[in-house]
Amino acid sequence: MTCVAALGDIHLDRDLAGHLRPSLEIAADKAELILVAGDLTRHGTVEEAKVVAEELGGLPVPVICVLGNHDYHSDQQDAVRATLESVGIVVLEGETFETDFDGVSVGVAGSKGFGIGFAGRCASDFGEPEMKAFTRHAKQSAQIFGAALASLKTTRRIAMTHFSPVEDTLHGEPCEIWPFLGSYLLAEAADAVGADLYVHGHAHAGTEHGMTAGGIQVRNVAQPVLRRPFALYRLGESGGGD
Amino acid sequence: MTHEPNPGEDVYLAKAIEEAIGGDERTAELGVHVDVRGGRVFLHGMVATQQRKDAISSVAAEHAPNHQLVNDVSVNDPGATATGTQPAEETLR
Repeated sequence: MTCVAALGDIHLDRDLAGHLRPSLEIAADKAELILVAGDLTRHGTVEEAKVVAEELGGLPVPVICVLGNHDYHSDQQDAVRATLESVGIVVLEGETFETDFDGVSVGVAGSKGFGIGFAGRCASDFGEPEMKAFTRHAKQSAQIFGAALASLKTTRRIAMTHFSPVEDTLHGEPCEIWPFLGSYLLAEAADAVGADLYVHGHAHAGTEHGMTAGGIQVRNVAQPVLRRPFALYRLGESGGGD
Repeated sequence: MTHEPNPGEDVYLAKAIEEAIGGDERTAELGVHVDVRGGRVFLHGMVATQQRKDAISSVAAEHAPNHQLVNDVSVNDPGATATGTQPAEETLR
């Protein structure tokens, strides 16, 4: 069975240099993939990205990331990405990563995603240009994420965004801010093609466990939610049975 | 210090402090909840280090110099693993 380690919202800066590495080495020993669901930095600077590269780079298993809203804050997201990629970290934005473990192909589709809210309680593509821009960005984010997930032909499929696809994992956050924490469009995109696991971050006061309407297991791996360095998820045989 | 109750003002002050904690480069913490009651500023949430918690106090104090601060933000080092414990593992079906 494929085992993945997942974490998010690590918000690294120089003050945390070296803190995470020992735990990640344990994660690399136990899992075949390490997933990091965005907000790797505090302000999205290259200097902070260098700390992330030191912590996450050079591990013996693939490290797959998406960026989060904090990683965009200084408008240096391209340089942040390049810094991470320079040490072999994979950064996904409407893209996929595929590998093979013991004859089982595993794919990850990732994107930052965006907010808009959830069915019946979300922003609409109507009115002022600012509101339409907000809504259209959410739609575009879900579209590129969904297209990436749909392109995976692997036996196992994992979905990863920073923003949440469901309300389940936001419980604990004030419901008034849920439209800024996630989007039902991400769940809709994932349910259209299916996945074995969907991980996200962003909602620090949320809860770990959730599920899409279509039955995909969703896990909020933001570190304040996990209260442990990482989560380990083993992808069971399809249909269960053991 | 004598505090004259003004609930409406307290609500806006709380939001201003919350905005400052999110926007100030010393903190950049979006997950800190601020409540102003009875002349005191209460801070709740979770950060990774004691230094980050202290920075939140500094920013809040600058925006509410006449209020007493109650910083209940907890510190959770992202790398802390209890010695001898194994990470919990979940099998998904």
